Amino acid sequence: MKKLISIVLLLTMLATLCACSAEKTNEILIGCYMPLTGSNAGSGICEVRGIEMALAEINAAGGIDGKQLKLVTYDSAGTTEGATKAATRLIEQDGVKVIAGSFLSSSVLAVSALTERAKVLHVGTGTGATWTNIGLNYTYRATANGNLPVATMVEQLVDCGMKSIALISVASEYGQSGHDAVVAACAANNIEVKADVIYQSAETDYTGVISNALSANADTLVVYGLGTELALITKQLRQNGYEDLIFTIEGGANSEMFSVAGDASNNVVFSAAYVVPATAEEGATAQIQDVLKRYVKDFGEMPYSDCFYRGYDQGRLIVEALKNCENVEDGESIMKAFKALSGIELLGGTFDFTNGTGDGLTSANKWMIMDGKIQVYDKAALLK
Amino acid sequence: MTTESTIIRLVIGALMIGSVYAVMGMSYSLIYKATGLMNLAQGDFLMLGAFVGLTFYKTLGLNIVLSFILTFIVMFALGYVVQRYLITSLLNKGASFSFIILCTSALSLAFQNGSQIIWSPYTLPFPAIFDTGAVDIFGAKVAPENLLVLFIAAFGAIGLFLFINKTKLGTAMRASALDQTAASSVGINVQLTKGITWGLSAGLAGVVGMALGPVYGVYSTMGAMIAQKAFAGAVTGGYGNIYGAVIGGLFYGFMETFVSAYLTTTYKDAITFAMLIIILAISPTGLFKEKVIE
Repeated sequence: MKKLISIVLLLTMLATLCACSAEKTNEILIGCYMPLTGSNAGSGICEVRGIEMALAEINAAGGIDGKQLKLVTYDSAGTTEGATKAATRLIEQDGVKVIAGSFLSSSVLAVSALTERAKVLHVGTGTGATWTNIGLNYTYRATANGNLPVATMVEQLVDCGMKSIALISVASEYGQSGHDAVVAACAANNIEVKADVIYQSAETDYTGVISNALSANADTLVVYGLGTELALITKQLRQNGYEDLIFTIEGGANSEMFSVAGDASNNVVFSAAYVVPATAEEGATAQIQDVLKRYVKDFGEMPYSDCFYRGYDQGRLIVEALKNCENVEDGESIMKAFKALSGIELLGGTFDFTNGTGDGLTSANKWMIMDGKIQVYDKAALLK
Repeated sequence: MTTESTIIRLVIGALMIGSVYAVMGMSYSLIYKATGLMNLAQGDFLMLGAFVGLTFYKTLGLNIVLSFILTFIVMFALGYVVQRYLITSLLNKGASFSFIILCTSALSLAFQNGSQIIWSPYTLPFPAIFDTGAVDIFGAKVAPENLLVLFIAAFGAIGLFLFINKTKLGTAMRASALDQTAASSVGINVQLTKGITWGLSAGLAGVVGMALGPVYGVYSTMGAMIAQKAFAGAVTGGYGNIYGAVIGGLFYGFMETFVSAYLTTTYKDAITFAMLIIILAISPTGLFKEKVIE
């Protein structure tokens, strides 16, 4: 019986492999590793949907040289180990020449070692500053570098007359790079960092962290974190009686700010490339409204996080590189085409990769949460 | 904000999270004491309880008290079924202790992924239970939902204590834990008491999870870190000792809250778990010197 089962499994595996190789001739495979389970699954699913939407557009228009684009996605479970395993499989087993990377910078950084060696184009959407501007040839960012929103957020601090802050940041590669950027930007603008508090990821109770930050009696709080954690800190800050402004960056646009923090998210000021409005019609541009309407049509809901936008831009940029390259089977050729992209108008702004840093965007936008809605930053309304 | 109000807020916060660890630690100890097993899916019972409670309270619009009761019943049934039809069948096939642990670990992942499929991979909001905002306790602002968590956890701990010590079924559970053969010989249905033990553990974890919903939101991994610390608390108190689990849980609640408020937030967990190692190095069977089941 065991032998029979073994033979059946082996034959199934071989049949699957044969089917894959037969399909490959008419398709261009694009690899993708993304957290599809675990605490980051919501954003991961959104990002994959964004990439697939971008690929569907080009496929509907006939593909590239008659070949359809196909996304091969593996779950990284939000860990660097999971990401490197998935990327190894994509490169060695599936033979992809392009990988759409995760929005988790730690994963992008870990995978970049593999893609650089294998000469595979790797386009990530993490915002941590550490993995661009370090001389990588095959690794690029399809969203704003975290330093951009930080610089913009510090402009908002100055604009609101803040002279000192208590900084709460997450203990991760993302949090560390953001922390360093906030401290440097504050120093450059004569803003004193009175308290520097780190919280552990996946924590649930922040009583001690909050008490530590509030005891500094700074003018305001800056929280450098994402998702549920940022929402929980915001909520618990309000539950502990803190009613003033809270400054943050992209995490302010996450849906958890409304689903978890609820009314506590009012008076949160942030800077980010993208935000998810309450309805598709409220999108900042016609292009954003269009993709949001399609998202709602396909999935019956608004995107859970801004990672959908990142995924869409990521997919569109990859498509542009594949269209422009000399040989879609050659990673170096695709990389050169990607590096030459400029003036590409997408959801996050105008992308230009010709400066060779790996970053394509040079600006971020200012936002605030008021009356339970994300609105364009307006100091007068905020301080009223 | 005055020093006094800060300390009051910290004490209430520590009591809240500490009592959650205490109840979870009690549920670990209960299973270990009654069956000699370790359940790594205990944190996921908490998470499932939060989702089930959300369904009763928000989706079906039931009364909050009724939602708590129904959540307890559903989670009790789940714990009972897991023990009677999964754990028992594995043990009957000669599965070793380590195999059972592995099984509960797999169950944990299955519960997490299952909850994402059934409910959502996203964090779901649990509606506020009380209409009032933060209440003032000696100058410290505290959300009423936090006090509810404290109340539920304390109620669960006292209820469990009374159940084990003052009821026939509780006495039967203790007898089964001490000597299964002797318990069987006096007419106690040992398998039934084991199932009830798992049911109680899951039910307790479930109602605590539901109480935590309005504070933390409801998501598939919400029980992971809580279970880890509750387990550490149970071990510190003396694994298998119900009272030890309470003391251990409260100890960890106070340690992590005050260490992060006054010492360091970065190394809070390192310091807290270093204490676990120190305590176990000095007293390997925990603070209450519980006899370890071989």
